[in-house]
Amino acid sequence: MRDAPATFDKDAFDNSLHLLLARAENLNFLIIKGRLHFFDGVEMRDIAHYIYCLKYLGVEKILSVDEVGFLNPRFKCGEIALIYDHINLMGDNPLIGENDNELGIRFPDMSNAYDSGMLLKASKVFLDNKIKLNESVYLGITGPESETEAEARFYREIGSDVLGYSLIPENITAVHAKIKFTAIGLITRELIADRMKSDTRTEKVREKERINNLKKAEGILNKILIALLKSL
Amino acid sequence: MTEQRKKILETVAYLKKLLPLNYRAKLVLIVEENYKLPKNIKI
Repeated sequence: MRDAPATFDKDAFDNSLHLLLARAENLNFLIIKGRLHFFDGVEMRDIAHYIYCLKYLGVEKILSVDEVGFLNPRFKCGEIALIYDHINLMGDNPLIGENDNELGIRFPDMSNAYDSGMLLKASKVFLDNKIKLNESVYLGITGPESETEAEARFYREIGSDVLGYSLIPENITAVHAKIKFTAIGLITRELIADRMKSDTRTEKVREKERINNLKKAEGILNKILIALLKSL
Repeated sequence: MTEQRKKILETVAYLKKLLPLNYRAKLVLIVEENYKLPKNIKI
């Protein structure tokens, strides 16, 4: 039975994650810059570790921002997705193994995994600022390879709007630890199955466009980021 | 106490030493390493 994280310890906060004390318009908040990724061979429980640490530091709410590809044909690169639910196809889970009841209950309720109150407040900030908001079901997969056309078609057909590699273990752990959680996707890649084969761009061009899309989405989010944080 | 919680509490004790005394923040923003934060957020 798995218990202790295999590799993670406090040094990760110096080496992989940067915990920053932030302040904006009289709001004090923490920023974690950097992530542990499952595709790097990191255990799910190692990712869970830093979320549990936040609980013991008194954190009650998390806003997590992740880069995503879009499956919903109504979306565009460079836009923002507000995630209201997820599908876990990562084949793993940070709660597998011995459950410590002090951290959370054995069978946490995932019916409000992306806190509805936070979602409502976030939506209002987007609407007030006339920013297109793509309400999304997030599909979590391991990566790191890009998706095949058949996979993209399947992911869309099972009800996903966007996909990414990072949010699932953070969200499940936050729910377990009773930390309210909301998430935003920065849309950088198109994953519409029927258009993928006709995409003749080179890998270099695709990567350049991905970075440009990331900058565009970041720019949009940054315009309202403080208002968003204050609203939560 | 499980080994998992023991390690968590070790990390929390380490982090609390780095934070200002009685520092309390209820909200956390998680972003990628390369995310360019807006300039009006003071670190």
